[in-house]
Amino acid sequence: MTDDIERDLATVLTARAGHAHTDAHHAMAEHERRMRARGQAMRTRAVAGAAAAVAVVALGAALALNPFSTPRPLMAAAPPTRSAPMTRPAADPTFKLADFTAQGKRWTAYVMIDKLTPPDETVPVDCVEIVGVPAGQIATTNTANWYPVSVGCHAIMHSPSDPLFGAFGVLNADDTDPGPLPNLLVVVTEPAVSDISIVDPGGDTSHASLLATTANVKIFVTSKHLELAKQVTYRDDRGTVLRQTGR
Amino acid sequence: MSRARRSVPVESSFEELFMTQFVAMRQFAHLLGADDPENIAQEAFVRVHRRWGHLREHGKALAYLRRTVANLATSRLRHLKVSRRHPLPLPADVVSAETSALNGLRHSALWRGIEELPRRQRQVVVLRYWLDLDVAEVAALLGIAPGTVTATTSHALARLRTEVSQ
Repeated sequence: MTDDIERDLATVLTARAGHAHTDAHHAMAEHERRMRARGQAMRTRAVAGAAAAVAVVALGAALALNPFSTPRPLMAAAPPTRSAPMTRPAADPTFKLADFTAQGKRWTAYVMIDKLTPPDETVPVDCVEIVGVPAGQIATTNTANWYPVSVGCHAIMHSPSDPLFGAFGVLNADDTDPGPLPNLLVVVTEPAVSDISIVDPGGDTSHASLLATTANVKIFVTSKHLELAKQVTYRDDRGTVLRQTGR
Repeated sequence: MSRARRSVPVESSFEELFMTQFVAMRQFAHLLGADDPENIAQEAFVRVHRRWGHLREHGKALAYLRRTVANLATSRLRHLKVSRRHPLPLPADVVSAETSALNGLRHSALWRGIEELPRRQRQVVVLRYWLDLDVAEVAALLGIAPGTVTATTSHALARLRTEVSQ
């Protein structure tokens, strides 16, 4: 027996779920990137002994002789172009977030703005990457020693109706580890946003700090949890409210 | 052709799962209150991919995927110690303006109620009324008894009725 509230639940949930649009092809490109990153991290941890090198060479030779046994790339069922790497410009804007200590080492967290062109597409997409690298290094797309839970591309979906592109925790993607910077939140908005004011549950107001501006996004940082806030207001430089959440 | 496809079932099936389920898993995480549903969906698929051999053999991939998203969203929420508020606009109804306004108010109240449900109640509500899973499926996915699902659903509905009637 289905009553009114149950029917309404289905309607409301479907309507709300409909707002969480994303592009599966862009998402797949990001998935490939994460799998590569995880593989790289695992390889980095492995001991690179001479015997292993020999084994790899031998395996490579064997695979070259027998293409049918070649390990399949992720997109094996797709046309060859699908498994091509995303293309990227030589340099990406990189912005320092904070230093932290983990695994007995000093690290630095960065936000990187990428413009990646997924396979099969010609139009690049903007991505936000939040990464950690050993202190003293500057994160680049070619960095080899990522902090293990460095998060790859968050594709930014530009929405004409929503100035908030995304809010991301820093290096806390793993469900068993809140990360080394649990109180840091990166908020990515459209460039028109010039102020984010946050009213905390106690009624105090604070403002997110502007970290960087690019042609396509603004990046703010806050130690406040937007979800805990009583109200979060996004304004442009004229004070016009572009977005407001909370009650 | 089919032989060739069978020779690479793991990757092609994973891709199929990804392309058909990614958006749904992102929506699922969003409905559970996650503030980073895209990242949670991505992380869930990475975990599924890494266990793909085992999951494929046993046909458990989708259930594992849903469970992983639920767990990741829960973990994230627990970490933040929050209940989410995403007051997004509802789509316009095709009924009269007056009915539309009343439905809008009711639906807004209902969504607020969903956002304020305890974690387990919210999970059960989303699984039952959005994913349309039956009691046994919800119980298996969350690792709880069917009776607990029924009771939790009942408590959640009672709470939501109160929210809507206020």
